[in-house]
Amino acid sequence: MLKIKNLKVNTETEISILKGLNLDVNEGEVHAIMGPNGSGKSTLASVISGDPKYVIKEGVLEFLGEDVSEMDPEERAAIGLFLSFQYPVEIPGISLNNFIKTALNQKQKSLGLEPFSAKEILARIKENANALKINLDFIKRSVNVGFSGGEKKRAEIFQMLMLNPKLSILDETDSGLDIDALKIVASGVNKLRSENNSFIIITHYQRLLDYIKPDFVHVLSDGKIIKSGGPEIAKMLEEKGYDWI
Amino acid sequence: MSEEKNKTLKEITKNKYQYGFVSKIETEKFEPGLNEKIISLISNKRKEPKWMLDYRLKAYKILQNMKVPDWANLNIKPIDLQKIIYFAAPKKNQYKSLDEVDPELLKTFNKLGISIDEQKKIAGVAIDVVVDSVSVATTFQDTLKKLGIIFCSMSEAIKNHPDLVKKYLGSVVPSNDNYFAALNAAVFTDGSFCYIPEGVKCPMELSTYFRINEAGTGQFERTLLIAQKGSYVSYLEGCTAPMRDENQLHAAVVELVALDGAEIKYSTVQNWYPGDDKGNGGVYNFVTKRGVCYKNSKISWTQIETGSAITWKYPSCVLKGENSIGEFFSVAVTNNFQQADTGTKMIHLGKNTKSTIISKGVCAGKSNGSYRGLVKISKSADNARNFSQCDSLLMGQNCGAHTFPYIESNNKSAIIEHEATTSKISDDQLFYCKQRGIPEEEAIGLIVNGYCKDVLKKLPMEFAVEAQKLLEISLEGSVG
Amino acid sequence: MIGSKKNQPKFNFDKKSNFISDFLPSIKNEDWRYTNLKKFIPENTEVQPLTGYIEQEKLDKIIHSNKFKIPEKNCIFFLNGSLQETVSDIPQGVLIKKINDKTNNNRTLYMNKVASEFSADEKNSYTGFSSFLEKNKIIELNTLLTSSPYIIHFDRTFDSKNNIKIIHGFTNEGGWFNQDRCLYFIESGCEVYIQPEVVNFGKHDSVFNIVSEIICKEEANLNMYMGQNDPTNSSIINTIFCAQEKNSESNFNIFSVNGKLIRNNVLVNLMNENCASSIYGTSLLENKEHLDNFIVISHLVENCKSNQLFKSVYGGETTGSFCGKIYVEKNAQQTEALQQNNNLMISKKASVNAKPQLEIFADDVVCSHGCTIGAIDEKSLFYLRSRGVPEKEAIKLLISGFLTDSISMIKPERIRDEVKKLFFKE
Repeated sequence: MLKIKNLKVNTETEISILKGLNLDVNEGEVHAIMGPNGSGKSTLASVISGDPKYVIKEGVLEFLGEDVSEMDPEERAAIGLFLSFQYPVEIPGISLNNFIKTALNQKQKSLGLEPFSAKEILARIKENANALKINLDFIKRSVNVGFSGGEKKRAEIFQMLMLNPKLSILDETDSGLDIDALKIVASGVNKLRSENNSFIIITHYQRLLDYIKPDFVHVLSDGKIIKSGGPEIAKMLEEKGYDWI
Repeated sequence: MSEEKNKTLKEITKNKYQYGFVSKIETEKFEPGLNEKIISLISNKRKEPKWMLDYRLKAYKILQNMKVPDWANLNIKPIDLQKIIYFAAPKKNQYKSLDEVDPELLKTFNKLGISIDEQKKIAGVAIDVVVDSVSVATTFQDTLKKLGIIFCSMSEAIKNHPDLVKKYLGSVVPSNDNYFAALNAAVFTDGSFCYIPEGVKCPMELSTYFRINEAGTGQFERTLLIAQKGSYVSYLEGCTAPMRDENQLHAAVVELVALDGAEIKYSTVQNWYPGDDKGNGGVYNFVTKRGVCYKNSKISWTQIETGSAITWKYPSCVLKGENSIGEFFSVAVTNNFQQADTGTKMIHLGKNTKSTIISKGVCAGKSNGSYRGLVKISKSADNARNFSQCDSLLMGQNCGAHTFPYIESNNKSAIIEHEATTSKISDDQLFYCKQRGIPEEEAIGLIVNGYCKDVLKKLPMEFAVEAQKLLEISLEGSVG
Repeated sequence: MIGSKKNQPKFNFDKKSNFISDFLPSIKNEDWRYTNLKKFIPENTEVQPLTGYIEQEKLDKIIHSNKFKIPEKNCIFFLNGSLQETVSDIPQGVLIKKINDKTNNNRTLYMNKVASEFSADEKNSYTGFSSFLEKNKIIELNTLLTSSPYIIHFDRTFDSKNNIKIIHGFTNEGGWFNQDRCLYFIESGCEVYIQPEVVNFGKHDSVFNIVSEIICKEEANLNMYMGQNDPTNSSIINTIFCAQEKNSESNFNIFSVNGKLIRNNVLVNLMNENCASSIYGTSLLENKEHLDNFIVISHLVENCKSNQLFKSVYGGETTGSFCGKIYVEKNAQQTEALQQNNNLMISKKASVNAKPQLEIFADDVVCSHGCTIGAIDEKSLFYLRSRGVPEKEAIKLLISGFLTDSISMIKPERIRDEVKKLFFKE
């Protein structure tokens, strides 16, 4: 599904961040990416989703067998890519409700499908909000404006469920969450998890991985994946820290 | 600015003005020029009583001793009053039934999305339509009459309700108020008149639609709205004009009187032709709007200003009575070479008076937008309260946003708060929307609409959607 | 040095009848909308240039007067526009020169006179001042009447621990309307703390028109503290032009307590990258004072920061005005410019006007202004009283709390204490 080969990425100001990264994600797989601060985890998430702040210098970035490196972020989103932001931005005056409707119907439009009816959307909103224990009043608030850290993350997962992406990247979605919120977020991911949908979970801690069992765990350091393996790696990291590698 | 954004910017600024067509309606018009003879002709043509002619001639005298104000942050080409046609009207303008209406005129209204056929028109909105110098149709007059509401053209009002007109005309905006008010008083040709009797809540939106059609004509309409004690009315005006290379002058005067306990909501969606992308043509929109609030009354101005080459407009409230409330909500969008200098005056005279000002400026292209406002608390205005917020959003590197608030407090017990910010659409916001699959143009439209939300939500439901679309057409995508 | 009577400028006194209309702005002048100078400077005012000459006997009298104690250390003392070296204590690193060579164009600032020290580029940056100069002929009057102003030059050998007091003293004999002018030149990398003050040694009240021009070279750091506390009921028009080079920083603190009219014009040009300027004003006026703070900060290039914070308390029959403008040039991206003006009215007869303005031509900027006018919060007052604080004390406490923000911006502790004393007489 996602194929990354020898990916080298710089910032706009030509600072090298990813220095030859390789990663393959297949249908139905959950990959966890761990690593110390500044190792390039968030950059990886941004580059996959097409943030113009980063420049691909070299390498292959394919999604669903297609080279996406030149695609606009909205095109990538339309074919099923979703990023749960580490720091979701505020958009004053636009309700989460309105925002997600726009996003959903834009996706339909770009796939050449009819827009959803208001009734259909409402039903989906209700279903997903219930699953995440989100109050419907919350959906009426402006996107991320005045949301607490936990609310922002929950809103991200809510949008993920609404958009039903093929590949979801969760960039430190667990940071700043208490244990109950963490469980709710995990339940959202597990709801979407299927043999067709894949996930990349970027995290600092083992904690989230207790609730979302990864198939693979990678350790990212200085712009490269330096170790890959099963869930046991996460456990070892938790116990021994990054020095262990 | 990325190349891609540049492209979007170009595409969007190319967006053509939708209402720029000219209708071939048989018109009667005067020679251009302004003098006592022309004024007498106008008055004559309209079969006005003598007092009205005297009123006009007095205003003309005042005008001759005045100069075009130059304090605004505007670059105005000299206006030659002698080159303007002061009277132009569709030849036949009194209709008993729809069958009599010039089919070209009907076509015009259909193109503008207005139906004067009461069966087909927007539910619950009564419309007075003014083309060039005269009112051509007023709908729902009978329904309103049953409630004692008078809603008609100014000409009819002068004829049928002279006492009301005599009493209130010029009582809020006297002829000597400013240059354009004097000009209007001398030459105004029509406009809407509205009177809501005591205690009546007007059940429908009242609306006036202004259209300049003829070349070389100026539009000088006069609106007078009187809300008697305890009454309520919501009023909306819209405007369009054909695309022409020369500048056209629109100098209107609107007077509102809110008597004890009355409430007036006055909304404007202004979409005069703004000129082309090289700065040619467009309407000069010099408007004086003011309302007087008596005890416990309230006046709300809401304006969406997207058109005109130059806008010079300060809808104001004189808060005369105790506990009266003045509000001003404004979105002013400028693109290409448009210039806008707009804002409000809140004059607090009575005790416990309150005012709120929310102004959202959006500037794109090579345009300049200014907020200019005055909050004045007089000695007598104990416990007056004002809150103002003036935000500007800049799109691109060739536009300018200006904020000129004047705050004057002469009363210790008053509380005044003023805030202003300048910002742009952040790259992070854009990327966030795009990641969710929303293309750049839609994303910008969405963000700007969000930015203007506080004002848009004040519009009557029927027009909020229209205004929102208008915003998107006017500026969507112009990010830099 | 004692001045001589020789160097009088050519000023056409025959035109005295036109004096008011020629040089004094009317309230129709937007910059003077809220201050009617004609109320403070009567039409028959006698104007003549100061001679700077003073008899030794009189000077001694001033030095030993009890009215004002001239500091013994780190003090530059001007009397009637002339430097009095015997009374001054000029520390290491400070050089004071007289500018005698006035070129034909009297309208230009002295800055342009030392133009040889600037590039053509830099000269362009003075444009930020030019529109002000055009509209404010009172500066031109100052130029005409100050015969030979001084450059006060700070170089790197100056020890920033020395706070320098600069006294503009006037005996007030020459007339009713007094001028003074000086140019501060802060060398690159130099950190300076100065406290200019205007002192009236004369018998009657007067109007003082003081113009200071400041050039901050690269990485210079200027801190200026201006106390305005004239018990003789004089008026002051205090104008500062400050032009800043790369990486330089300026901080202006104005404290207004007493005076018939206090008008401060502070104009700052941020002409090169990474400049910062802060202007703080604090005032507590309780009699009949009229205060007018007029600030213009021009961001001419990218990546500069500015901050304005003005806190004023108006009691008695005082009137006040704040006009602050932030101007951001087209190419001045990444500008950060803030402005805050808070006014407290503690008397029924006081009145306040404010005109906070933004003129922005660049899109990637953070600019904001906030302005409030209000009375003492009744709830806070009640809270304090319910804790046993008498009303008068409680009001005093709330006022001092209100003014703390801007006073706390004073870096040197010694000056901060001095200012606190000025305000709260503790």
